[in-house]
Amino acid sequence: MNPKTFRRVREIFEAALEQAPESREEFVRQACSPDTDLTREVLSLLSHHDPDVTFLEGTLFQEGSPEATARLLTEGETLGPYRILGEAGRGGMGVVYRALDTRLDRTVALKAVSPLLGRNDEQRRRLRREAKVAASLNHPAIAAVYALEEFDDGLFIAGEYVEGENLRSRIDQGPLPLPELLRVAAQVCGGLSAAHSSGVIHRDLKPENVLLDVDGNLKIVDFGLALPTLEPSHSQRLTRAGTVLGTPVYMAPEQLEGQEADFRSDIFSFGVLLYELATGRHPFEGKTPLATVARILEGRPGRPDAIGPPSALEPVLLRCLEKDPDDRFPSTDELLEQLQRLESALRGKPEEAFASRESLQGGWWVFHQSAVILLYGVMVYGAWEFKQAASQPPGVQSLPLFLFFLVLGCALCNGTIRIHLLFTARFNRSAIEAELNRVAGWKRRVDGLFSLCLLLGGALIVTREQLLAGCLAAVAVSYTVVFLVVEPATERAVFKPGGPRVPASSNGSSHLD
Amino acid sequence: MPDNTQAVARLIRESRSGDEHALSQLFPFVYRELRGLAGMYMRREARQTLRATALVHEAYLRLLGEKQLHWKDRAHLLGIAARSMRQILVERARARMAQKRGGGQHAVTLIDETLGRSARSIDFLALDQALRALAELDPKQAQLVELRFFGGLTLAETSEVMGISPATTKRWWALSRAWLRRELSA
Repeated sequence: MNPKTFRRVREIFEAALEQAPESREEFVRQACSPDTDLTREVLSLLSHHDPDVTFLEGTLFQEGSPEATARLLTEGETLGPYRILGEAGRGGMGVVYRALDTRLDRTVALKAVSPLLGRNDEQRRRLRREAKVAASLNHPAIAAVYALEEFDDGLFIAGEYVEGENLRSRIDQGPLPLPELLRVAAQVCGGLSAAHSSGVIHRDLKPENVLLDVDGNLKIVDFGLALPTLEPSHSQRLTRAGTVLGTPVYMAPEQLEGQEADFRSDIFSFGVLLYELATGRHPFEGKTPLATVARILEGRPGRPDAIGPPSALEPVLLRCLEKDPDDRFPSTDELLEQLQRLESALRGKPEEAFASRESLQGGWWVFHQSAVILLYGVMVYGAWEFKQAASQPPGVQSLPLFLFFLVLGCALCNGTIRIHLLFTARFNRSAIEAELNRVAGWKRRVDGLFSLCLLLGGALIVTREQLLAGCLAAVAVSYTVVFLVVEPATERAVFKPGGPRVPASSNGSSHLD
Repeated sequence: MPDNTQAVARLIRESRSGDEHALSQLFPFVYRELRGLAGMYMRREARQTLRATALVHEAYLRLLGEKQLHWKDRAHLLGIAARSMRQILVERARARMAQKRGGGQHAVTLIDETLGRSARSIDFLALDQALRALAELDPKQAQLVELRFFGGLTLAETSEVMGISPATTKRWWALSRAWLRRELSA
């Protein structure tokens, strides 16, 4: 067949489809005659046309979430010794039911394990092993696991039923106040620490997996059972384009790279969780879940204090969020200790532990900026002096006055810029780098003009007021050195604009440590 | 990523204006992106289900952000992504053939487990050959299949991307399906 015949085939095929099914053959014979090859071709195509078959229809990949494939249980239904009381929630692994264990007469959380996870013996063996380990954990901040049940309807995990909300809904209400934040952090970390010392890692710690019961106690759920799942719940919050592809936005970089997770991966996830509780924002928040994942892998966390958590917590947060597991806390106990120390410091002397202190380098920069602003003030006075001196008859009148106003203008202009920078550094730190870049050119030009004016002023009065002229010249020269060499060096040291930056984090984060 | 994004946006504009060279440059970008994405999801034990469309959209978003492109460029990119998906699946199928003949133990079965029921029974190598043959008769008929099946686009989306009416899309889709079904069952 050639393209031309194909077009003819298409015409007749399409026209035939317009006909009623029983008259199609007759129609084709008429339309094609006397070309028998054409007739045979179209008829064979028509015989393979069946609008109902699924050939090439439907999605390429399996669709739907695990619970879509598992049969949903209804209230009142019994399953072995359990009677379903209602649905408690839906998680990454499937639906969680509130159920009554009729043997012991206690309410349990009955979690349906996704059919995808228990398909073969190997997976079942693994689940059983993990349930056994999880059941051995005994800590107030860990929801207990009672049993792994296997019914005809699939695998179920029975565990402690916790009445309350999860931390996700708490985060959605905004940042936690400091005392509560530290209480939550210490409790969750206590649970983690207990599990880690028993050799159990969570692997999927996230707000959805930490429950807050009605008495304000925290319970980590899914311990050790968390076969990594891609859960859409959080990504939906982050996705804008309406795709609901789950993305593991709480996973440590090494987990995302497919390496085996260890307790330090949990520490990373804990850091993300804590950061979110403190600021209401994900430390690596990107436009899309994938952008977030990319930033977890490559970007630096946004500076938490730009959005306001207490600065004493900041080093702890950032250490949890280190890319290299070796750079994080060497043990969960140590992390717990630090958190507890902060908590008790808050109870004891809050002002000392939580005064927002500038780091040493940052302090130098602030000092530098303030000194320069002061210098401007003094030099405006100096310029007034030389204007007076140069205006003494028989001196020229207009040039000194002009120079004075130039100096005044420069001082006002650059003084304002520096005050603006100080302000930005203090209250909008994430923008400081961009601001520095934005004003750099202006600052240099105005500073240059300022020095030049001082030099010129000195030259004008050099015959009359040697001392003042010398002073002006000295200040001009030393100031040139300051703005050309010293200031850029301080800025580099403090804000590290030349440091290893990755594009993903370019939307606003700078380090001042 | 921003520099990548700009390069990709430029390449898309150029390839849309018919520059084949730009297209061949663009393809590796998208392809690598999809491979990376697919790899990332496939490595994960749970092998969560994913839709081809979601994958394609994600790849697109990751490459370009949301506002960078004119819708025609987006349509164009979806086309490229769909072609990438086809390539990935055909390559997988080829690798599995090699494995059956006694090659190494590659994890090529991973992607198969995530395939939908209707896709699981398909011989991707044969489908690819049949599509090539169809493209020789009418490239548009083959492109339609690529977008619908490999790109996961709906009929409406497909007609938008191809710039033909929904009615035409539906008729052509019927013909493409009948034709491919015959070729594959032969």
